[in-house]
Amino acid sequence: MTDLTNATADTTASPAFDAILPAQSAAIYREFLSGRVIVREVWDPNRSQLVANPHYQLLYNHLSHFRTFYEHLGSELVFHESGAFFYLRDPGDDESEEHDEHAFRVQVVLLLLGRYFARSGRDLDYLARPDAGLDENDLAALAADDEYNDMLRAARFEKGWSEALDYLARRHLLFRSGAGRCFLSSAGQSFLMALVREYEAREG
Amino acid sequence: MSKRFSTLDTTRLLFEHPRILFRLIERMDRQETRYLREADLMAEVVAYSRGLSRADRERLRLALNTDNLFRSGLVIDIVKVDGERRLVFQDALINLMRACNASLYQELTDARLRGHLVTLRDVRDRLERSSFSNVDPDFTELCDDLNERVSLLIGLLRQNVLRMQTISAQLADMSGDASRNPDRFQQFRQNLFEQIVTLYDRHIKPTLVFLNPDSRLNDGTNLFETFDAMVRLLDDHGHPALADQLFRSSISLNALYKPIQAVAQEVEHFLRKTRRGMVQYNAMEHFYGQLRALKGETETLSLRRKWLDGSGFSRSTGFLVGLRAQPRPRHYAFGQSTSYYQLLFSELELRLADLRRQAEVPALPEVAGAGRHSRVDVERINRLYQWLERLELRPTDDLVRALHGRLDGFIDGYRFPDLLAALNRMLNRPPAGYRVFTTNRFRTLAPPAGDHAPDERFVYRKRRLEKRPETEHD
Repeated sequence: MTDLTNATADTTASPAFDAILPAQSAAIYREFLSGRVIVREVWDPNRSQLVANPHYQLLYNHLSHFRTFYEHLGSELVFHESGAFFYLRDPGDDESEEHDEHAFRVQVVLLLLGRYFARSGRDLDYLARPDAGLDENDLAALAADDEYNDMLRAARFEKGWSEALDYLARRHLLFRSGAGRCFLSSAGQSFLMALVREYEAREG
Repeated sequence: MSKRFSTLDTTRLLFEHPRILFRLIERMDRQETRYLREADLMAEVVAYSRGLSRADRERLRLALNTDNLFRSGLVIDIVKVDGERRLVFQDALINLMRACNASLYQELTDARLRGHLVTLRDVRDRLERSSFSNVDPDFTELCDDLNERVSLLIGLLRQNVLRMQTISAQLADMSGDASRNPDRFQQFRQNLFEQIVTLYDRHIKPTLVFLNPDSRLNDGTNLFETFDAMVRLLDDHGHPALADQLFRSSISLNALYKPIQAVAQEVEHFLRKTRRGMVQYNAMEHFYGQLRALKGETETLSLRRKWLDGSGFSRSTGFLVGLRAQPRPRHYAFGQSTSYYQLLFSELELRLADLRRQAEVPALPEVAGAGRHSRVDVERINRLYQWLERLELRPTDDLVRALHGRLDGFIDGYRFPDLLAALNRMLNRPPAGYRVFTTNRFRTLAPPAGDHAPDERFVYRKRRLEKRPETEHD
């Protein structure tokens, strides 16, 4: 009897839970726990094209529900509009070093990629296009650059570029589109664009 | 002014405060002189030392006093012209300073490169007329001279390449205005072109021509032809070692062509950039400069600063701050089934059995001198084996974890090597009626409680302990 009343109380309190399949919500939760960002489009290696990410759609459609949901779990769901992605922010100890550690390592790798790309005379937009991006020659040139390697080592990527790119790929900031080819996701790209905007604002 | 510093200490002080000489060398290069005005030096020292503590300021002023510099041999000449005193510093010191700061490398101009080529041709001509005899001092001196010139040339070119590779910062500097006023971009672009073309024409192109083995010069042989001729001469006259060395030098020179070509390509790309591309380029350079500064901090003498300290950087951009993988909540495997309770009780029984023979627990700490004598190690393992001999076990999916659970916290001084030994024993002599089945799955164990190496992990292949089927009994 008590069970029944509790159940009805639950549904009236948050009808949003009814609209979402537990399996999908759990899948999103797992993605977040593994430190991934959820981008609007993910690379489908079988079809070799970017496809819409159902997780992103679900989060987007039930944004306020998921915001509250993750707030109850002790995290903060952050929506990055220009980059079209979500990530889970650990509000924990803001002062601790580890808090910024992952963000910084991601930023270092992205910045190195961006600088290399800009220096090679290409528009940064191409870095995030599946038909362009970085190819084998680029990866070889990156691996041959001593300064970049030193920089990666100092950012705790002991194994150099392969480890750094894996680090980004695992978090869906970069997609591998084939052997020796990769390109940035909209999330990765948005960092470089933010830097360009910030630079323009500062110098302007 | 009676106090003096030794040459070593003066030099040390100069390198502790390198900015003074950096600035002065820059000024020297700008004015294309080979001396410093004493007044400039004094002004620079005063300006620089303003922010220092009193003692440091005093020390610096004494050390960089003209008298002290001259007497310690760092200034080799003082010339009085037009009522001012000009100091000529020792070349070695200036060159060392240049080596510490890539932007101070002198650009190789066409004229200077040509000068090197002419001297090399001259050496070749003298070589043609020489005796090629090791007892002839003329010839040995000529060889020494040749070696010195070649290494000087390689050194100069290499410095120049390093300098050129910093061109991206230079380009970013030049085009910094691009992002400021987009409406006047066209006019600005015209100016930029002119500046970059000068840079390209005066420095990059001459070096490329100089290092191109195919270039034709109307006044004589090019660099590599000159080298080839000398190699052939030396080889023909029985000096293969010297010829080889020269040949290797020419190969190194040839290899320098490639990085310079990369720089040339970058400049070319840059010229074709749109405003947007230029802003992107500059933004990347700007933030990369910040990263480089962070990296510079890790390159000081402190051995502990190995990693970049990025919290300031990552916070200023704010991108993905707070992102991290989080541990998943753990499930407690409480069950209600009969088998769950059976397992629970059998485990309890086994632990009880352990407790009952607590009197026999091997005192491992007594023989803790592991590693010092093999005899002690053997003793330690023997005691452990005696304990294992009568340890009751039940079939389990993960023998290693089960053993760990039974040893950890129960036997004083238990460490991972003991677990390894115990496991070895189990593999070779499984308990009666059981067999050990090794799987290919890997698991990790945290260190035992109270271990002095908390970072240690024990990685093992999962092993199953199974009842041996009756039919297999022998």
